[in-house]
Amino acid sequence: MLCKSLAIFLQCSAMKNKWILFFPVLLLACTKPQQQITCSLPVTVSYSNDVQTIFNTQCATSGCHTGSSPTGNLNLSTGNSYAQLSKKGSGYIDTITPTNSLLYAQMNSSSSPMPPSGKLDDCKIQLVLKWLQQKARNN
Amino acid sequence: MKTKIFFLAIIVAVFYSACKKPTPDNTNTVTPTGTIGFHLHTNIGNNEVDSLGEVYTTLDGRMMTLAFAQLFISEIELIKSDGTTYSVSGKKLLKTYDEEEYIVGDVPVGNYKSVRFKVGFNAADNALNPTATADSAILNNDQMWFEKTAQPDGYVFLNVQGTIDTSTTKSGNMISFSYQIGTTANATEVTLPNQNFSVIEKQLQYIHMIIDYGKIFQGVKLNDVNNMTVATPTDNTTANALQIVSNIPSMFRYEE
Repeated sequence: MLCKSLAIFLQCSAMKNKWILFFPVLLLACTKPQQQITCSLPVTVSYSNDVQTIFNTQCATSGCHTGSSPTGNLNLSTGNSYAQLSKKGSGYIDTITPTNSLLYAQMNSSSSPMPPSGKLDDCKIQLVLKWLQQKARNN
Repeated sequence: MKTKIFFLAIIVAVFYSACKKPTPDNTNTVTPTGTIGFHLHTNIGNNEVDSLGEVYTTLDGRMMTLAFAQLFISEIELIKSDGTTYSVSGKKLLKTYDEEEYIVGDVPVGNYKSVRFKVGFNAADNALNPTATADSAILNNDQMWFEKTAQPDGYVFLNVQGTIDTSTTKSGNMISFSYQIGTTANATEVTLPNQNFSVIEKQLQYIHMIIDYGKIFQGVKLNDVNNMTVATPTDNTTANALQIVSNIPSMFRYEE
Protein backbone atom coordinates (compact mmCIF):
# COMPACT_ATOMS: atom_id res chain seq x y z
CA MET A 1 0.00 0.00 0.00
CA LEU A 2 2.80 2.39 0.92
CA CYS A 3 4.59 1.50 -2.26
CA LYS A 4 1.49 2.19 -4.36
CA SER A 5 0.82 5.58 -2.73
CA LEU A 6 4.40 6.71 -3.24
CA ALA A 7 4.32 5.73 -6.87
CA ILE A 8 1.12 7.66 -7.51
CA PHE A 9 2.45 10.70 -5.66
CA LEU A 10 5.65 10.70 -7.62
CA GLN A 11 3.91 10.20 -10.93
CA CYS A 12 1.81 13.30 -10.25
CA SER A 13 4.54 15.56 -8.95
CA ALA A 14 7.23 14.66 -11.41
CA MET A 15 5.30 14.03 -14.53
CA LYS A 16 7.82 15.75 -16.72
CA ASN A 17 10.82 14.14 -15.17
CA LYS A 18 12.44 11.26 -16.99
CA TRP A 19 13.16 9.63 -13.63
CA ILE A 20 9.53 8.69 -13.57
CA LEU A 21 10.39 5.73 -15.78
CA PHE A 22 11.87 4.01 -12.75
CA PHE A 23 8.76 4.04 -10.65
CA PRO A 24 6.67 1.46 -12.44
CA VAL A 25 9.69 -0.84 -12.14
CA LEU A 26 9.90 -0.13 -8.42
CA LEU A 27 6.20 -0.68 -8.08
CA LEU A 28 6.52 -4.08 -9.72
CA ALA A 29 9.28 -4.95 -7.30
CA CYS A 30 6.87 -4.32 -4.45
CA THR A 31 4.07 -6.42 -5.83
CA LYS A 32 3.87 -10.03 -4.70
CA PRO A 33 2.77 -12.53 -7.33
CA GLN A 34 -0.78 -13.65 -6.69
CA GLN A 35 -1.46 -17.34 -7.32
CA GLN A 36 -4.99 -17.60 -6.08
CA ILE A 37 -6.75 -20.58 -7.61
CA THR A 38 -10.49 -20.38 -7.59
CA CYS A 39 -12.24 -23.73 -7.67
CA SER A 40 -15.89 -24.05 -8.40
CA LEU A 41 -16.90 -26.57 -5.75
CA PRO A 42 -20.45 -27.78 -5.21
CA VAL A 43 -22.21 -26.64 -2.06
CA THR A 44 -22.57 -30.26 -1.01
CA VAL A 45 -20.00 -32.66 -2.34
CA SER A 46 -21.46 -35.93 -3.52
CA TYR A 47 -19.42 -39.02 -2.85
CA SER A 48 -20.86 -40.96 -5.76
CA ASN A 49 -20.89 -38.13 -8.28
CA ASP A 50 -17.83 -36.16 -7.30
CA VAL A 51 -15.35 -38.17 -5.25
CA GLN A 52 -15.91 -41.55 -6.86
CA THR A 53 -15.52 -39.96 -10.27
CA ILE A 54 -12.01 -38.91 -9.30
CA PHE A 55 -11.25 -42.40 -8.05
CA ASN A 56 -12.56 -43.98 -11.23
CA THR A 57 -10.29 -41.98 -13.48
CA GLN A 58 -7.25 -41.53 -11.26
CA CYS A 59 -7.06 -44.37 -8.74
CA ALA A 60 -9.15 -47.43 -9.57
CA THR A 61 -7.24 -48.10 -12.73
CA SER A 62 -5.68 -51.32 -13.91
CA GLY A 63 -2.86 -52.45 -11.66
CA CYS A 64 -3.64 -49.91 -8.97
CA HIS A 65 -6.51 -49.57 -6.51
CA THR A 66 -8.84 -52.07 -8.07
CA GLY A 67 -9.23 -55.81 -8.51
CA SER A 68 -8.70 -58.70 -6.15
CA SER A 69 -5.25 -57.59 -4.99
CA PRO A 70 -5.39 -53.81 -5.04
CA THR A 71 -2.35 -51.73 -4.18
CA GLY A 72 -2.15 -51.11 -0.45
CA ASN A 73 -5.10 -53.46 0.04
CA LEU A 74 -7.27 -50.50 -0.90
CA ASN A 75 -9.88 -50.99 -3.58
CA LEU A 76 -11.28 -47.66 -4.76
CA SER A 77 -13.57 -48.96 -7.47
CA THR A 78 -17.28 -48.17 -7.45
CA GLY A 79 -19.13 -50.23 -4.89
CA ASN A 80 -15.99 -51.02 -2.89
CA SER A 81 -14.33 -47.73 -2.12
CA TYR A 82 -16.50 -46.31 0.63
CA ALA A 83 -16.37 -49.44 2.76
CA GLN A 84 -12.63 -49.63 2.30
CA LEU A 85 -12.05 -46.00 3.18
CA SER A 86 -14.33 -46.27 6.20
CA LYS A 87 -12.61 -49.34 7.61
CA LYS A 88 -12.09 -48.83 11.32
CA GLY A 89 -8.59 -47.75 12.22
CA SER A 90 -7.45 -47.33 8.65
CA GLY A 91 -7.04 -43.57 8.97
CA TYR A 92 -8.13 -42.87 5.41
CA ILE A 93 -10.91 -40.65 6.73
CA ASP A 94 -10.55 -38.31 9.68
CA THR A 95 -13.62 -36.10 9.98
CA ILE A 96 -12.36 -34.44 13.15
CA THR A 97 -9.18 -33.21 11.50
CA PRO A 98 -9.90 -33.65 7.79
CA THR A 99 -6.41 -32.62 6.72
CA ASN A 100 -5.05 -35.56 8.73
CA SER A 101 -7.06 -37.99 6.65
CA LEU A 102 -4.70 -40.33 4.89
CA LEU A 103 -6.78 -39.94 1.73
CA TYR A 104 -6.15 -36.20 1.67
CA ALA A 105 -2.58 -36.34 2.97
CA GLN A 106 -1.60 -38.77 0.27
CA MET A 107 -3.19 -36.73 -2.51
CA ASN A 108 -1.57 -33.60 -1.12
CA SER A 109 1.84 -35.14 -0.50
CA SER A 110 4.64 -33.31 -2.24
CA SER A 111 7.17 -36.11 -2.14
CA SER A 112 4.98 -39.15 -2.81
CA PRO A 113 1.62 -38.00 -4.10
CA MET A 114 -1.21 -40.24 -5.12
CA PRO A 115 -1.64 -40.97 -7.93
CA PRO A 116 2.05 -41.69 -8.48
CA SER A 117 1.83 -40.35 -12.04
CA GLY A 118 1.54 -36.85 -10.62
CA LYS A 119 -0.35 -34.77 -8.15
CA LEU A 120 -4.01 -34.16 -8.94
CA ASP A 121 -4.96 -30.61 -9.79
CA ASP A 122 -5.69 -28.45 -6.77
CA CYS A 123 -9.42 -28.27 -7.41
CA LYS A 124 -9.82 -32.04 -7.29
CA ILE A 125 -7.88 -32.15 -4.04
CA GLN A 126 -9.99 -29.32 -2.63
CA LEU A 127 -13.10 -31.22 -3.64
CA VAL A 128 -11.99 -34.27 -1.68
CA LEU A 129 -11.06 -32.10 1.29
CA LYS A 130 -14.47 -30.45 1.24
CA TRP A 131 -16.11 -33.88 1.22
CA LEU A 132 -14.05 -34.83 4.26
CA GLN A 133 -14.98 -31.56 5.95
CA GLN A 134 -18.63 -32.37 5.26
CA LYS A 135 -18.25 -35.52 7.38
CA ALA A 136 -17.38 -37.84 4.50
CA ARG A 137 -20.87 -39.12 3.94
CA ASN A 138 -21.75 -41.88 1.49
CA ASN A 139 -24.07 -39.59 -0.42
CA MET B 1 17.46 20.50 -10.07
CA LYS B 2 19.69 19.51 -7.14
CA THR B 3 16.76 19.86 -4.78
CA LYS B 4 14.65 17.66 -6.98
CA ILE B 5 17.28 14.97 -7.12
CA PHE B 6 17.77 15.15 -3.37
CA PHE B 7 14.03 14.88 -2.80
CA LEU B 8 13.86 11.98 -5.21
CA ALA B 9 16.68 10.16 -3.44
CA ILE B 10 14.88 10.51 -0.11
CA ILE B 11 11.66 9.14 -1.55
CA VAL B 12 13.44 6.21 -3.18
CA ALA B 13 15.17 5.43 0.11
CA VAL B 14 11.84 5.39 1.93
CA PHE B 15 10.30 3.38 -0.86
CA TYR B 16 13.13 0.84 -0.76
CA SER B 17 12.92 0.39 2.97
CA ALA B 18 9.16 -0.16 2.69
CA CYS B 19 9.73 -2.89 0.13
CA LYS B 20 12.45 -4.68 2.02
CA LYS B 21 11.45 -7.87 3.71
CA PRO B 22 11.79 -7.67 7.47
CA THR B 23 15.05 -9.16 8.62
CA PRO B 24 14.44 -12.27 10.69
CA ASP B 25 15.28 -11.89 14.32
CA ASN B 26 18.08 -14.36 14.77
CA THR B 27 17.41 -14.63 18.45
CA ASN B 28 13.88 -15.85 17.83
CA THR B 29 14.12 -17.98 14.70
CA VAL B 30 11.45 -20.66 14.39
CA THR B 31 12.32 -23.71 12.33
CA PRO B 32 9.46 -24.51 9.98
CA THR B 33 7.98 -27.92 10.57
CA GLY B 34 5.71 -30.45 8.97
CA THR B 35 4.09 -33.49 10.51
CA ILE B 36 5.10 -37.11 10.17
CA GLY B 37 2.68 -40.00 10.50
CA PHE B 38 3.13 -43.74 10.31
CA HIS B 39 0.62 -45.80 8.41
CA LEU B 40 1.17 -49.32 9.64
CA HIS B 41 -0.45 -52.38 8.14
CA THR B 42 -0.70 -55.66 10.01
CA ASN B 43 0.16 -58.45 7.62
CA ILE B 44 0.82 -62.15 7.43
CA GLY B 45 2.98 -62.48 4.34
CA ASN B 46 1.44 -60.48 1.55
CA ASN B 47 -2.00 -60.50 3.12
CA GLU B 48 -3.31 -57.76 5.32
CA VAL B 49 -4.94 -59.15 8.44
CA ASP B 50 -8.51 -57.95 8.19
CA SER B 51 -9.88 -60.09 11.00
CA LEU B 52 -8.50 -62.09 13.88
CA GLY B 53 -8.78 -65.85 13.56
CA GLU B 54 -8.75 -65.79 9.78
CA VAL B 55 -6.24 -68.09 8.15
CA TYR B 56 -3.53 -66.44 6.05
CA THR B 57 -0.39 -67.81 4.47
CA THR B 58 3.10 -66.68 5.37
CA LEU B 59 5.67 -65.86 2.71
CA ASP B 60 7.09 -69.37 3.06
CA GLY B 61 3.71 -70.99 2.51
CA ARG B 62 2.73 -71.80 6.08
CA MET B 63 -0.81 -71.23 7.34
CA MET B 64 -1.15 -68.88 10.27
CA THR B 65 -3.78 -66.96 12.21
CA LEU B 66 -3.59 -64.07 14.63
CA ALA B 67 -5.64 -63.85 17.80
CA PHE B 68 -3.81 -60.83 19.20
CA ALA B 69 -1.04 -58.61 17.86
CA GLN B 70 0.33 -55.48 19.47
CA LEU B 71 3.72 -53.89 19.72
CA PHE B 72 5.32 -50.77 21.11
CA ILE B 73 7.49 -48.45 19.04
CA SER B 74 9.74 -45.85 20.68
CA GLU B 75 12.83 -43.73 20.08
CA ILE B 76 11.74 -42.73 16.59
CA GLU B 77 14.41 -41.05 14.50
CA LEU B 78 14.27 -39.67 11.01
CA ILE B 79 17.43 -39.93 8.96
CA LYS B 80 18.05 -36.86 6.83
CA SER B 81 19.44 -37.00 3.33
CA ASP B 82 22.82 -35.83 4.63
CA GLY B 83 22.94 -38.71 7.13
CA THR B 84 22.23 -36.69 10.24
CA THR B 85 19.23 -37.67 12.34
CA TYR B 86 16.28 -35.97 13.96
CA SER B 87 14.90 -37.63 17.08
CA VAL B 88 11.21 -37.40 17.90
CA SER B 89 11.62 -36.96 21.59
CA GLY B 90 9.65 -39.16 23.95
CA LYS B 91 7.14 -40.45 21.42
CA LYS B 92 5.79 -43.95 21.98
CA LEU B 93 3.30 -45.74 19.77
CA LEU B 94 1.22 -48.78 20.60
CA LYS B 95 0.49 -50.47 17.31
CA THR B 96 -2.66 -52.54 17.53
CA TYR B 97 -3.60 -54.98 14.82
CA ASP B 98 -6.45 -52.90 13.39
CA GLU B 99 -5.28 -49.34 13.99
CA GLU B 100 -3.17 -48.12 11.09
CA GLU B 101 -2.80 -44.38 11.47
CA TYR B 102 -0.31 -42.94 13.96
CA ILE B 103 0.75 -39.32 14.17
CA VAL B 104 4.40 -39.26 15.17
CA GLY B 105 4.82 -35.50 15.55
CA ASP B 106 6.20 -32.34 14.06
CA VAL B 107 9.64 -32.48 12.53
CA PRO B 108 11.77 -29.93 10.68
CA VAL B 109 11.00 -29.52 7.00
CA GLY B 110 13.55 -31.02 4.68
CA ASN B 111 14.60 -34.08 2.79
CA TYR B 112 14.89 -37.39 4.55
CA LYS B 113 15.91 -40.82 3.42
CA SER B 114 14.91 -43.26 6.12
CA VAL B 115 13.40 -43.89 9.51
CA ARG B 116 14.74 -45.70 12.53
CA PHE B 117 12.99 -46.72 15.73
CA LYS B 118 13.04 -49.20 18.52
CA VAL B 119 10.53 -51.98 19.09
CA GLY B 120 10.60 -51.99 22.87
CA PHE B 121 11.86 -49.60 25.47
CA ASN B 122 15.12 -48.45 26.97
CA ALA B 123 15.78 -48.96 30.68
CA ALA B 124 14.42 -45.57 31.69
CA ASP B 125 11.12 -46.09 29.89
CA ASN B 126 10.84 -49.63 31.19
CA ALA B 127 11.09 -48.26 34.71
CA LEU B 128 8.25 -45.78 34.26
CA ASN B 129 5.15 -46.00 36.36
CA PRO B 130 2.43 -46.41 33.74
CA THR B 131 0.13 -43.81 35.22
CA ALA B 132 2.63 -41.34 36.61
CA THR B 133 2.91 -38.96 33.68
CA ALA B 134 1.22 -38.27 30.40
CA ASP B 135 4.33 -39.59 28.74
CA SER B 136 3.86 -43.01 30.32
CA ALA B 137 0.07 -43.24 30.06
CA ILE B 138 0.39 -45.32 26.93
CA LEU B 139 2.00 -48.00 29.12
CA ASN B 140 -1.16 -48.25 31.18
CA ASN B 141 -2.34 -51.29 29.28
CA ASP B 142 -2.43 -54.58 31.14
CA GLN B 143 -2.28 -56.50 27.89
CA MET B 144 1.32 -55.34 27.70
CA TRP B 145 2.37 -56.29 31.23
CA PHE B 146 4.03 -59.49 32.33
CA GLU B 147 2.05 -59.46 35.56
CA LYS B 148 -1.49 -58.57 36.51
CA THR B 149 -0.25 -55.30 37.90
CA ALA B 150 2.18 -52.91 36.28
CA GLN B 151 5.75 -53.72 37.12
CA PRO B 152 8.53 -51.17 36.92
CA ASP B 153 10.83 -53.75 35.46
CA GLY B 154 10.02 -53.99 31.84
CA TYR B 155 6.89 -54.07 29.81
CA VAL B 156 5.83 -56.52 27.18
CA PHE B 157 6.64 -54.71 23.97
CA LEU B 158 5.52 -57.38 21.53
CA ASN B 159 2.46 -59.45 22.33
CA VAL B 160 1.43 -61.78 19.53
CA GLN B 161 -0.82 -64.78 19.79
CA GLY B 162 -2.49 -67.09 17.30
CA THR B 163 -1.97 -70.39 15.58
CA ILE B 164 0.66 -71.64 13.15
CA ASP B 165 0.94 -74.74 11.03
CA THR B 166 3.77 -76.68 12.66
CA SER B 167 3.84 -79.63 10.28
CA THR B 168 6.92 -80.17 8.17
CA THR B 169 4.72 -80.81 5.14
CA LYS B 170 2.68 -77.63 5.74
CA SER B 171 -0.43 -79.74 5.85
CA GLY B 172 -2.31 -77.57 8.31
CA ASN B 173 -1.43 -78.85 11.77
CA MET B 174 -2.42 -75.62 13.49
CA ILE B 175 -0.95 -75.20 16.98
CA SER B 176 -1.46 -72.24 19.29
CA PHE B 177 1.42 -69.92 20.05
CA SER B 178 1.70 -67.04 22.51
CA TYR B 179 4.69 -64.73 22.63
CA GLN B 180 5.05 -61.92 25.15
CA ILE B 181 8.38 -60.37 24.31
CA GLY B 182 9.86 -57.76 26.60
CA THR B 183 12.74 -56.61 28.80
CA THR B 184 15.21 -53.83 28.11
CA ALA B 185 17.78 -56.25 26.79
CA ASN B 186 15.43 -57.45 24.07
CA ALA B 187 14.45 -54.01 22.77
CA THR B 188 15.35 -54.08 19.13
CA GLU B 189 16.34 -51.32 16.75
CA VAL B 190 14.72 -51.28 13.32
CA THR B 191 16.15 -49.24 10.45
CA LEU B 192 14.20 -49.15 7.24
CA PRO B 193 16.07 -49.06 3.92
CA ASN B 194 16.63 -45.75 2.20
CA GLN B 195 13.55 -44.35 0.51
CA ASN B 196 13.57 -40.60 0.05
CA PHE B 197 10.75 -38.46 1.31
CA SER B 198 10.26 -34.80 2.02
CA VAL B 199 8.64 -33.01 4.90
CA ILE B 200 6.85 -29.89 3.72
CA GLU B 201 5.87 -27.05 6.04
CA LYS B 202 2.43 -27.54 7.61
CA GLN B 203 1.83 -30.73 5.63
CA LEU B 204 1.28 -34.22 6.96
CA GLN B 205 3.53 -36.83 5.39
CA TYR B 206 2.82 -40.48 6.03
CA ILE B 207 5.43 -43.23 5.97
CA HIS B 208 3.74 -46.44 4.93
CA MET B 209 4.98 -49.67 6.43
CA ILE B 210 3.91 -53.28 6.66
CA ILE B 211 4.42 -55.33 9.80
CA ASP B 212 4.57 -58.96 8.77
CA TYR B 213 3.90 -61.16 11.79
CA GLY B 214 4.68 -64.26 9.72
CA LYS B 215 8.34 -63.28 9.97
CA ILE B 216 8.60 -63.94 13.70
CA PHE B 217 8.86 -67.68 13.05
CA GLN B 218 12.04 -67.51 10.99
CA GLY B 219 14.47 -69.98 12.54
CA VAL B 220 12.00 -71.12 15.19
CA LYS B 221 11.75 -74.89 15.52
CA LEU B 222 8.02 -75.32 15.17
CA ASN B 223 8.06 -79.03 15.94
CA ASP B 224 9.04 -78.31 19.55
CA VAL B 225 5.95 -77.36 21.55
CA ASN B 226 8.18 -75.60 24.09
CA ASN B 227 8.92 -73.02 21.45
CA MET B 228 5.29 -71.99 21.21
CA THR B 229 5.22 -69.93 24.40
CA VAL B 230 7.20 -67.01 25.77
CA ALA B 231 5.39 -65.59 28.79
CA THR B 232 7.75 -64.29 31.46
CA PRO B 233 10.89 -62.18 31.71
CA THR B 234 12.76 -65.41 32.38
CA ASP B 235 11.33 -66.98 29.22
CA ASN B 236 12.64 -63.94 27.40
CA THR B 237 16.21 -65.08 27.97
CA THR B 238 15.84 -68.42 26.21
CA ALA B 239 17.37 -69.16 22.83
CA ASN B 240 13.92 -69.42 21.33
CA ALA B 241 12.93 -65.96 22.61
CA LEU B 242 16.18 -64.48 21.36
CA GLN B 243 15.52 -66.01 17.96
CA ILE B 244 12.12 -64.34 17.86
CA VAL B 245 13.67 -61.04 18.94
CA SER B 246 16.24 -61.28 16.18
CA ASN B 247 13.39 -61.60 13.68
CA ILE B 248 11.80 -58.30 14.65
CA PRO B 249 13.66 -56.06 12.16
CA SER B 250 12.62 -58.26 9.26
CA MET B 251 8.97 -57.87 10.21
CA PHE B 252 9.04 -54.29 8.93
CA ARG B 253 9.09 -53.25 5.31
CA TYR B 254 7.81 -50.34 3.29
CA GLU B 255 4.46 -50.70 1.66
CA GLU B 256 5.06 -50.77 -2.08
